[in-house]
Amino acid sequence: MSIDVTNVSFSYDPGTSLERTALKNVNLSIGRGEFVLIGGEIGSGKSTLIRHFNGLLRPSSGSVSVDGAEAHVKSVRKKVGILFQFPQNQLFARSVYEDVAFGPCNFGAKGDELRKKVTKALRMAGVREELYEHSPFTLSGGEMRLVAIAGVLAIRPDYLVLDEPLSGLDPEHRESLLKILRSLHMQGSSVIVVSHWIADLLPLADKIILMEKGKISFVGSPEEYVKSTSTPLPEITSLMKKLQQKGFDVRDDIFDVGEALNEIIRVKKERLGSMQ
Amino acid sequence: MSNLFFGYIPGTSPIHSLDPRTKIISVMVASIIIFNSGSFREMALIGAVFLALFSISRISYRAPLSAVRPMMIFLIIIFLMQLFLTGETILFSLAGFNATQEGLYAGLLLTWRFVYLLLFASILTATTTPSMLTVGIERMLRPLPLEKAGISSFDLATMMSLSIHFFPLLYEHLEKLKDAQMSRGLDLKKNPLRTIYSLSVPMMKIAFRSAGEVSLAMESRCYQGVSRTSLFEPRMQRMDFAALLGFALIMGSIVLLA
Amino acid sequence: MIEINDLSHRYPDGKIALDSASLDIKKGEFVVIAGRNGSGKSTLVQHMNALLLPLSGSVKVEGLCTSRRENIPQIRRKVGMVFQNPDSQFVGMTVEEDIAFGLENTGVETQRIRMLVDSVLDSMGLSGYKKYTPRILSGGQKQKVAIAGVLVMEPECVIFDEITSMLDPASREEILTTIKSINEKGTTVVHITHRLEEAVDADRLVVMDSGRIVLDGVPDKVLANRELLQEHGLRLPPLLELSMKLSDAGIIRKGVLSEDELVEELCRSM
Repeated sequence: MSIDVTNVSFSYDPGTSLERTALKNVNLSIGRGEFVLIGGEIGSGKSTLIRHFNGLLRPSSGSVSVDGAEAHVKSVRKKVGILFQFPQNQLFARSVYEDVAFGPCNFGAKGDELRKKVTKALRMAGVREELYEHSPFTLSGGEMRLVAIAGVLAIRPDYLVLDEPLSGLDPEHRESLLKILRSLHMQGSSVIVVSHWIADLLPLADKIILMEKGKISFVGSPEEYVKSTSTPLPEITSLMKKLQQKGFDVRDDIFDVGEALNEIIRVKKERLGSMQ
Repeated sequence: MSNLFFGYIPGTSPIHSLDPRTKIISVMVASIIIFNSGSFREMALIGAVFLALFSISRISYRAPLSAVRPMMIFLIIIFLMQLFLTGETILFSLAGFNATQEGLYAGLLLTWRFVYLLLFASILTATTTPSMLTVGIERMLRPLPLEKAGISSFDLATMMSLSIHFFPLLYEHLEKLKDAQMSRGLDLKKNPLRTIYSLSVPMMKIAFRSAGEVSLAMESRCYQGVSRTSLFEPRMQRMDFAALLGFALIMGSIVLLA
Repeated sequence: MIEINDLSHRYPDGKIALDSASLDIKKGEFVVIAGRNGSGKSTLVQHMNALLLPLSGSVKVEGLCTSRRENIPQIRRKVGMVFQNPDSQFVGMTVEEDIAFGLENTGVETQRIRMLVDSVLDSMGLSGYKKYTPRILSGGQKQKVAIAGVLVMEPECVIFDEITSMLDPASREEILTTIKSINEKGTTVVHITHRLEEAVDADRLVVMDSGRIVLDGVPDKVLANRELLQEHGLRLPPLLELSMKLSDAGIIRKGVLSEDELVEELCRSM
């Protein structure tokens, strides 16, 4: 059970003077329950790649399959839910509830089943109950984004793909979104995040895929990423690496302040100990 | 939406260097003459004038072609309307409608006229940047008493520039919005009402928001809608007057001689 | 340069946007205004160039009151603003036309427009993109064009309203460097952000929440209030937080912001 991309190449406007190859022979596999971070510069092909996961785009050559079925079958959109950048732009319904219901409705949910899906999604996304009947346009930017997230969660996709989900969020909202992603992952969903901002997401990921000019340039675990010469690194990790280079016996696969503090204190104690 | 410059093709031909007003007025003169020409000979002569201008401008054949092609459906419709809905001498019948001989001639003539209109306009847009066009139109509108209507010629020109700029931008937003709603299971074919609603409401929001943002930016940069100077200052020179005069004479004589 | 006194403002739906805010910005200062979304930062700065007018309280730019209509054109020439969305600031069809927009609005004659536009294209490194349509540029380049369009009017103060929040990391660094160099040339800079790491080189850090100014001072001092900042929805840059904790534990002397400084301090202490 996985998303399998096999030898996929893709060009925009093929055969015309504007032809642009966005993906070149990409091979990858994302299993159920994995948290995958896809990084790379603008133009590396990340956005093009994820649009293949739910059939919005079809490969010029090669194939994409989800749990064995070809990715352009309509039912795949129920398994792979994509939330694009600035998702608050997709809100349109008369009430928050109605907007979140749009997704599951399109896939045939009705009555009690529909109500359950919508309320569970709203709760998971952290939307306050008093807002359910409000027009989505009266909400603040941050709340609108949560409603948009609920809109995709309500479909109950097995694979949740998010394109730059942290973009434009202030530190508080960033933290709450990361919490939501973490709990979704723990509940067994696959979470695939495309982002420039590796720092916040690296600690959460099982696997990191880097793309460069339409090709995959790195696949590995966060620890492997840190050990390689890849950039960018989260600030704390970069610091630990520099300390290592200066001769300190610190681990470099550290991503948060607390761990770094403990590690430095540990090494200091060892040094003091060894000096006596 | 791949034309970067609204049909403009950079070049150094004499037509490229003409003042935009010369070209705009010429197209207006051409339209008047085209819609007053009824005979085959007149139309053929007009065609010859077009070919002459086309070769002087040294633009690719793609420009006039891409001006006519998107209008094909429109042209076919007006041809068919003339063919079936006017005239008396019946040629044949189709689905209860009668195609007439007069209708055939009228249809051909009308279609031909529109094609010529598009062709002459294509030389204008191929040899004049959108900004030059806007400045030219603004200059021509300036002496008019538009303040009575509450706007200025500068406002109109700015509205034109902004539309030209925003059209492809909003199109990109629409593409992204389509992707987002389709990812939520929207089936474009199944439920047309829902499709329209889920696409038009957000688009209107986006359009209004963008408009609000642009107007803030414009106000910050001191836009007041009056007495604006320009980076490009179009100046009518001797060549412009000569070209204008020459063109008017040639086109006028086509009609007069007929 | 800019004096704000007891300024209050309400949103159209009645909610409070600014609550008796007072702030003085001196000429040549590099001020960072930080706060969570909805704290009133944008509302506050939009009063500084008279996009919004005070209903209670006063705003003066170099002595000129913003509530007097005659002052507005002059105020807007002195105080320029660059906005958050790279796509919604363009008016011109090419880069050079867009940059010229502000000068065209103030009736500068063609020759001088040409000269000023070329000069700013050069200093921002955009000369190669003169005839491009802004749409095809990257986010960072678009913001550079927007900045150029404001700089060309030679303002005394430039306000940057969260201009990096929609950019990728590389573009963000580039723009921050540009902002710094603008201030180094003597222009007053007001930079709005919710990332405290962008306050590193500022002269002053002002923190807002719920329409009020809650902290105002030198970045070092303001950033020392970790819990308070957290309450107001902000987070310390990770390196600063780590160094402050190390300093609490007695391992280094004080909290530092840059990686190199921290490495140095640690080497020294171990």
